[in-house]
Amino acid sequence: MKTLLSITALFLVLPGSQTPPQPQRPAPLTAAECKCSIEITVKRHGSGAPLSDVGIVATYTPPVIPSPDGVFRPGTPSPVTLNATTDDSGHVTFSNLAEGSYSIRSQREGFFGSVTEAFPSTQALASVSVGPAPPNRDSRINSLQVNAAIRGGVDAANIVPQPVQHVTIEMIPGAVISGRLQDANHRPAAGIAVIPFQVRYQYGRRTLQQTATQVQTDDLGQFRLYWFAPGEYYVRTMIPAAQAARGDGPNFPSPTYFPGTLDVARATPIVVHEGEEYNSANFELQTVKGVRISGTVINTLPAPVVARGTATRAINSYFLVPRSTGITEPPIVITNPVTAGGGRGVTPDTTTFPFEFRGVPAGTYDFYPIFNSAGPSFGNRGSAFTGHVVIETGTENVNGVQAIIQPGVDLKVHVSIAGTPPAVPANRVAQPIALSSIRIQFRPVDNLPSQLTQGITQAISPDNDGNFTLTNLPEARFFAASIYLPLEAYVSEMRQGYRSIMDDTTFIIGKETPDPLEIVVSRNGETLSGTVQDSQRKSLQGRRVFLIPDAPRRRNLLLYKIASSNARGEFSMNGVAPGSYKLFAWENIPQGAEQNEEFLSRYDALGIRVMVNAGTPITNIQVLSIP
Amino acid sequence: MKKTFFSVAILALAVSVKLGTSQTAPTVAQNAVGVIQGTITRAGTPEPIPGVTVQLNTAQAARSAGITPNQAVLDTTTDEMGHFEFRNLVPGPYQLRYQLDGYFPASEEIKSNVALDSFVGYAGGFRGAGRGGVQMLALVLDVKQPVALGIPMIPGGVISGRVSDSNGRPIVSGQVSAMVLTFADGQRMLGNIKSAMTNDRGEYRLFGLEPGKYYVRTEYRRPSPSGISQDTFRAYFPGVQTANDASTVSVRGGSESSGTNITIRPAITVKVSGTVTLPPSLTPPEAPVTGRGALPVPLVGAASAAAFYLQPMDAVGIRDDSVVLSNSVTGIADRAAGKFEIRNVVPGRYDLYTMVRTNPDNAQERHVGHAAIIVGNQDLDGINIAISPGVDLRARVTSKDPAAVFQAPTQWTLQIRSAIPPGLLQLTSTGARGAQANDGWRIFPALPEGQFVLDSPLASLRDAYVADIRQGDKSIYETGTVVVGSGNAEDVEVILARPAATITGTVQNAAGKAAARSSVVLIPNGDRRHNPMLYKRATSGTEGNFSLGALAPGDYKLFAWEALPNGAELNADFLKQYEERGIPVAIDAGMQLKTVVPLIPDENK
Repeated sequence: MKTLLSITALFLVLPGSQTPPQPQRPAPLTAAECKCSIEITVKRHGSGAPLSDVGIVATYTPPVIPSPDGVFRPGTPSPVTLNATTDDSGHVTFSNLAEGSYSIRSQREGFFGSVTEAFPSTQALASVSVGPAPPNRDSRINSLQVNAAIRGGVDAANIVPQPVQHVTIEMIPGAVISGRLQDANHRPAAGIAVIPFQVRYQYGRRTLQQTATQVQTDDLGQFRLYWFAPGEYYVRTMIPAAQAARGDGPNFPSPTYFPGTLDVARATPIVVHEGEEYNSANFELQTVKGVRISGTVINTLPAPVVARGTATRAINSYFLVPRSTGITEPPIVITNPVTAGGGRGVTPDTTTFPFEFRGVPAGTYDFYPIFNSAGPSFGNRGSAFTGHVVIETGTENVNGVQAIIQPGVDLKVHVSIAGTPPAVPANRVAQPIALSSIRIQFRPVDNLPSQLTQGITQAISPDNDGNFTLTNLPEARFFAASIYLPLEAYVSEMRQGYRSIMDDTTFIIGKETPDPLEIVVSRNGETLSGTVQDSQRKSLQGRRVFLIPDAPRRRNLLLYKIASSNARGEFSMNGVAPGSYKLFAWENIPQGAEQNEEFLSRYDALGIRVMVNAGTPITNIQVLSIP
Repeated sequence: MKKTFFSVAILALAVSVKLGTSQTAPTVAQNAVGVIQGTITRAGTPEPIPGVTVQLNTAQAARSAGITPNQAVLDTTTDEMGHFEFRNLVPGPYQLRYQLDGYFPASEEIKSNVALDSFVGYAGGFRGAGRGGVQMLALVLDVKQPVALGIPMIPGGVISGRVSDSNGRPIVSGQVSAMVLTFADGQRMLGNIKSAMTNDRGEYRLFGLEPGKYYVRTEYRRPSPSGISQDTFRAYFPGVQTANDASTVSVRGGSESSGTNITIRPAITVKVSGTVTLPPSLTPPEAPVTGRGALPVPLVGAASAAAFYLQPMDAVGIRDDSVVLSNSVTGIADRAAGKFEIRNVVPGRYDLYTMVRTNPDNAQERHVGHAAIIVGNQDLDGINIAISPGVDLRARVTSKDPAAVFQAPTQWTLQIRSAIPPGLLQLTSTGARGAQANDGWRIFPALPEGQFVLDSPLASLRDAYVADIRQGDKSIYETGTVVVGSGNAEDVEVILARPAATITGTVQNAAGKAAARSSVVLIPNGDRRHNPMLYKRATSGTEGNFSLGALAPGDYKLFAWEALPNGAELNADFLKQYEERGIPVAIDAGMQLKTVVPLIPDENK
């Protein structure tokens, strides 16, 4: 593809070519004929120092050759890969190359190609074309130097082929966090896992995700987290399972956040920039009076059908999910040291499973014991079942908790199409919307263990009548996360029973069979177009523009639209539902932050208000990019 | 009786729910007022050690008191003062264990106000397998007085340092291991006790090590741009290629051997390349050449030769693990043609091995190829590794005397005498089929040419002994070496006869006291020392007593070690130091011998 464009660019450069008469393009020069070369220099971003030991991979894609009948057929040789490593001056040269387009990837542990908040890239990318120099070229074009884009790792603009290309690549050095961990008696805490987390937005919720490798403290309590992407990190400890199982009594060490708190809301994130070391991440393991939670799980569902051995109703895993208002933390998987069966072991008839969790810090938890089963009584599919209970702990033990494993409920969903098909030109056929081409994805509002939501979080398509059923849903709240619709269609209504849930698409699943969901898709959504500019009124390429509905529908993700501006700064959106919106374009936004109310509230005044009415496309909107 | 039991049971339930830091034994009887308590401290100091797991096994005592406890093993941890206690115990014998990662039993005497017997148990195959040694005490509890113990433990030591190249650049994310001398198949090898990774400065820290001598080895990867090559490089402290040339590090309890730096010297490395060829009988019907591009997904045939094993020919002393290098040829068509290239080969003389799979449905079916190579300072090309179809070896047990009762072993294993890396072969037998199965044959499939030795437990032999081992029509009883040729391997028969001899006796230490839990080994003299099937082993009991049966006639030496590293008895160098301390024994058929064996004490104590 790129090569095609570069060939076209070649034609455009030739002066006097108006309507190219499509001369027969000669076959690309072989290595012996072209003797082209690429000289690469890799530098450290910031200081510009040369980087040695960088692995470079150059992949050569043979150019597309038009055959005599004008039809393009792909080149027959397979892509060729060349490897090398930069020397002490950061140089690598690939010589005796055939004419064509080469993609360059550079990689070295501890360095990154780009560090935008979404996904730091461990590789820096560049794209180069080599070939015979075109005649009559401008001397400016003759001495092109290509610098790989650092932000976003985007391939550099297509280049006019040269026989010798020089490429400079910059790589961003990773950061280090080191420190010392002590226990409550000011003695070194050895063998404790230290984990780096970052805040990520997931469907509007701020969650903690582990984004770099964890390490263990040594006998002096020291730890060193190294070579991760610069950014903002929460550092937290984890208690080894063996110690957790023994945890009881007044001094149970709990997962602790730097600078020494059990509460993530009071934790201090550590900001490290590229190549920087933060070496005073010293803190003390906090202890709690860990309490015990004990009770029984009753499971009367059928045991799974297994090929070998006997299956029992034993509970497969236990989760305690802390209820959070701020940042969502990962759920705790708890081991249950108590065995069922009164010491005789679990038999296929056992239905009562006592449990006891030790060392649980005070708080409110959603308790999910999970039982996995499969077999004919479950339609021969594997499923996860739970018995959800809310547990509040304070300073005293909690006894006698009872959780009953129950099958989930089924939710029927029906999708229908409203509105007349759009007018089409005479020589085309009206395309009906095939219901089965629609794809919807739901997610839980609450922080459920992922095993309980596997069936629901995949994209679901209705059958030709627009029906589908979500089976075995646990007791929780859910919302519609995304929908794939043909271009001009939009969701105009969503109901559970008779209640409209268009404000936030949230529906509740309880223990009883829920009211069915109705989703109405309408045609003739509106179009929106405009340009993205900076404060100097210059058009900006590659900016993402977000169309976000106003209150009360701000939480309805199905109404959101995202578009990217092209080389002229233009963007367009289709299938917009009528209503009131704001348009935003950020220079840099954490992935998914646009779905978070608190994030949006900071920028609300900077959005462009747009009223979308049916039948009125909106054009020439100028959106100012927010830095 | 029932009523008492019922009320005991109720009370037991009540007691087990009560919380507290000390454990209460869920037994209630009139005389259940015994206490076992103690303090654990750092050896030679009064400093307490908190957090030590202490376990009390009450099963024996409960049984002799006629009670069924809810929990046979009680556990607790020492508090801030190093203190632990168990209360409400009935009189009887108890076993106490204590353990903390990074701490080890001390040679100092345990202080106690009652008689006790102690021994050290170790987890894992060889001494100090990365866990604090678990010291076990056997106690008999006297109800009239609480048992008070003073238990010393030695903190582990530390080895720390930096791994760098000769330019001072750090080796990052390399694995550094503290290793001890151990034995496998009668050969001295190194066993891994603890590993750690180097950080971005090349620094590492191995802590909680049991006092003793260690070898420090690092394994690391060079940055590989294509991501395909998985070659690891290896060096031993202070920066040599082989364990034989390496220096040891002495670790003392509670001390740190810092500055244990490993400097990787640039070694000349070359490439070795050539072709892997399959014999016609093994060539798969169609070569699976699919897809375009670089990364292969070969399943069978010459293309599956992905890993190459280099075994130095002149290995003396400590045997290193094989160097495994990956095939850097990546084009599908080239791999299907059997082309290989391995990089980073250090000059030397090697047996080069590789393995291919030939059956897409059975990953266990493998065939081995071998070439002897001499690598100099230049790249070596044109090496042909011919995969051998391999030969099936059959083995079975027969008996001269129809009255000799034995159970045909279900599992035989082979040990390798020649230099083939064990990872390549299937060394356990499979069952034969059809008529062969009925005759008791077991099969080792597709063995490459080489020398092997059979090992079979023959566990249920009582009155019979191994009288002869024959391969084809030759006796291989003396050395036990089984020969597999390039085209065939003659059948092996283990022939039993009666009557067998037995030796019973006791092991005594220098003070004339019975030595419990010592390793007693009967080792044949002369060439027969190479035949592992003629070795007999036992562990002495609490009274120092042992018994060895199913003995074949011949001349032997009888040894008893307090701490025998696993497999060391098969190593000639190891035995040399102890030769004079074994008892010579001459065995005739059917003999019943009684003897006393002197204990060879543990030198590392």
